[in-house]
Amino acid sequence: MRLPLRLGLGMAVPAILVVGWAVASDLRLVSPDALPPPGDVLNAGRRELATGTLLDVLSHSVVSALLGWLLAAAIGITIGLAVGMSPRTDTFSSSSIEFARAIPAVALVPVAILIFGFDLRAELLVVAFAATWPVLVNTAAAVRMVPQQLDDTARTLQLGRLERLTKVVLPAAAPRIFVGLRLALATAVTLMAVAEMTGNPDGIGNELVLAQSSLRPDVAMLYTLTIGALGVGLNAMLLLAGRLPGLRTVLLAGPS
Amino acid sequence: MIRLVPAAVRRLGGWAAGLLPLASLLAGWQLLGDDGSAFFPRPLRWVEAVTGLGWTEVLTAVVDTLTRFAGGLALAFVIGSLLGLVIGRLPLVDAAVSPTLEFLRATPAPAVVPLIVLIAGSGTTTLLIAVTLAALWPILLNTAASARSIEPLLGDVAKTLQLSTWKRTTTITVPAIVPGAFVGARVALPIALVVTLLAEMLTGAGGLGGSLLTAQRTYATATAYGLLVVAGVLGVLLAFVFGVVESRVTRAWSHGRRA
Repeated sequence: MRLPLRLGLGMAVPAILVVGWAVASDLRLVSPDALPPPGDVLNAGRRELATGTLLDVLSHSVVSALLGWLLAAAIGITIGLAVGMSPRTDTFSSSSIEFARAIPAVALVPVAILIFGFDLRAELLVVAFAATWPVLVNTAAAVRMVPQQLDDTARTLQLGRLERLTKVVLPAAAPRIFVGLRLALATAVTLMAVAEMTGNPDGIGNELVLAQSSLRPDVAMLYTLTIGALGVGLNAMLLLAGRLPGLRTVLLAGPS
Repeated sequence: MIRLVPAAVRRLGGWAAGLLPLASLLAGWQLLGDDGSAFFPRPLRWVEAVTGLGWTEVLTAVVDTLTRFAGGLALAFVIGSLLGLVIGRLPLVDAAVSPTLEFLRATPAPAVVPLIVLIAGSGTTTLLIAVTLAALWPILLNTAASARSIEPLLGDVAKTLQLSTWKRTTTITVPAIVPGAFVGARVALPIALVVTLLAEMLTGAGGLGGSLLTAQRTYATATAYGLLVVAGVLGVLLAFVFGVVESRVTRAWSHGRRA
């Protein structure tokens, strides 16, 4: 299918949905208590911006998600490298990792709150915990997949352990590690929302729950869309960062 | 010498060996910890606290959560695979709907829950809707991908053999997309569980999520830890059971297919 037709069709659907939404609200086909008209949502947006709330909570949430993600990246890559490079470490840790991975991160929120109180640290604990696993799993897989040839060449050249790691393993594993980091970012945004909805009374998630309990569907819709945009936006930024000269060949080259 | 040990035993041994970090953490905590600690009660206290809630209570909560989770996942499986099939086989629909779907997929499912509660109230339907929506996207997208890549040759075979639409659907289309739908469901499983627990917390609907929230609100730290472990065990069991079901179905449907 030709590109213009594709693009046109692709943009037609959201356009139709939004128009349909506006019309249905206008004709009172849906109760405004259930689905707020688009105009209301925009007004809510304008209000929240004016009072500074929108930017406030947005910055809290972004910081929380990114910080948790960075923590997860550090921990995940470290353990992933250890597990991937040493089969023995793998054997003596894989079941534990599988169990910890299966814990639904939302169940960690009460414990986090009870330890840290209603605090950013509780939020970070939950976000970092959940986001570590995609990084860890993908890093370990990436390292395991480094072609035997490369490893043998490194040994032939008598490269030290550290050199082997930095000059051979990491560059070869980088694209897959990047995939793990992107997955982790989406996870971080999700769990940031969860932690703010159920624990830390701060940030977008909290505003969302407040809107729910005060029966303000327009504000709720606004913040739901904001979180969606946040997830899409952060992912796009990470992809762009990967395309920067220098990083591009390392991160976006597929396995060769 | 190790080679003489049957493979299954070795696998079990490997699995057990992997539990070492977790086991040492719990053991160390139990030995060195302090029951009086407000933040880090010892593991045996967790067991005490959870059993203190009463077995009926805990089991009812878990069963409630499981029912909602399974119901939502099943619904998402049916709807997702049907829609995915349609989207995958109709290129026009595919091109029109894909960008919107990509955006919807990138929206964190938990973020939609409060809105659903506002629209649909606090009842069980809301929970079901929330879990279904959360699990829908991976299943839909994976099924669509499978449907798109059905071997074109098979279409010609169907025409040559003059297969009826029913025959064609059951012998070619369904076996082609069901494994993909299961992969999507496997991906959707963790997020569906998270959304189930989250929705329970936000709607006061009890279940494991409700119990967790109560433990937090009553500062019952040991109970919170204990329920966390219960949730973890639940997650592991669900993943395991699903893995078994998936491999059975995939083997049955993939028999004879290339790769």
